[in-house]
Amino acid sequence: MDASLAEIEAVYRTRGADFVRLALARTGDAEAARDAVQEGFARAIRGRWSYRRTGSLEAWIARCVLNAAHDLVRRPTAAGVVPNADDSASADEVDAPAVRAAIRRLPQRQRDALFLRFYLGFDYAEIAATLGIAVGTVSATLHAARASLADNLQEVAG
Amino acid sequence: MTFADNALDRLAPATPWEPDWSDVLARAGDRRLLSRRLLTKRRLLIALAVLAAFAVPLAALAAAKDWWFFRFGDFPRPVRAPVVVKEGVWSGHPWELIAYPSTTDGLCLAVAPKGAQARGDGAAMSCAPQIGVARTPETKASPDMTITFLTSSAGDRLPGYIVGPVVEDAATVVIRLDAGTALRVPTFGGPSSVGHVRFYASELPANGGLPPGLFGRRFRLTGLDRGGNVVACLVPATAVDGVSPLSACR
Repeated sequence: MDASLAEIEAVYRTRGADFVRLALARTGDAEAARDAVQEGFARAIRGRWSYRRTGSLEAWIARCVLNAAHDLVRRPTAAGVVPNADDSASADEVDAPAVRAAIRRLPQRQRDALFLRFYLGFDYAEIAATLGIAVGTVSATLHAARASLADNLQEVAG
Repeated sequence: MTFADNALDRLAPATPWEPDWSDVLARAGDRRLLSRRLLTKRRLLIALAVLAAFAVPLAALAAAKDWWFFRFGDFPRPVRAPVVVKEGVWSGHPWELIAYPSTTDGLCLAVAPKGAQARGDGAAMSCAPQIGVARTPETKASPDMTITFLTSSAGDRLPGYIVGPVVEDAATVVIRLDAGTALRVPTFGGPSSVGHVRFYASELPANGGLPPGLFGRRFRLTGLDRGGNVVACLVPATAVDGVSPLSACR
């Protein structure tokens, strides 16, 4: 059974701000993040026929938003986006480039798992559904991501 | 908050966000509007275009065989034309239930406000392979279901509701809500063009414990024949690929 337009709109209105944070972490650009959320939800509407209710609707939409963010990052010129660019931070955010650098060193799967956990508060099953991985691997992925991030932050800050 | 959490908080701090659902709908309905470069300049125009499109009364759209859901680019194509299966009134709000068999997604159902003031943005739609509706070579591989549902929480144009198709043996559908209440709804038939199925439709009580997208473990749909036997069952919390065995509802 697929998702109704009303259900998708409800997720958009109640969780939109969290999805923007997820996309901002992914793209490194506020405008691109908002664009990714709009496009991600539009994709969810267009593809809602394929949602089978075997996982949460939010997890399914998160996948749409992450894919949209990924596509935006892949075509920076057309979108005017410079993802994760250190010079995009303002002068009073001196530690933001360091954080981005530390995050960028993580494997993509670890990054996305961290983002889904932190910005959307997803449980292991939802993270697994979003990323298309086994639930049993989520805990280890998150643990490794947090450990690597801490190490990377020490390095780039030190 | 851990060291890593602090880093993630700095990476993407919470910022004010203004939802723009009209823009999402416009993007979903017309790929040509996706040019991000033009989006800012066109944003107002897009919103107005969407409102204008949805402002057309559904009756007029029906007459033109141009249903609102056909405006979405990836809607399942109909095998036979959509038909109005049922009309009714929920808490003073006229509504209509529309159905059609699709080439790829089984039976499609839509609920929309009815009347001169009706607009497509108060409507919702859902599709699923259903027992009693002929499959096509393109129908998705997911199994046929004995009962499915389309539901929405209360909005500006309609109260909360739940509707769906069920196997044609079902005379009654029992809807058990998360709040613990159960609704007993008689089924009704539709035109033969939509298949050998019956339908049910019910307004949901306020605070019925069925928020959109969040179905708890107690939510259950049971189809009963005239003898009270279970002939259809769906328990979304435990369903596998959208299907529950009849035993799950006994």
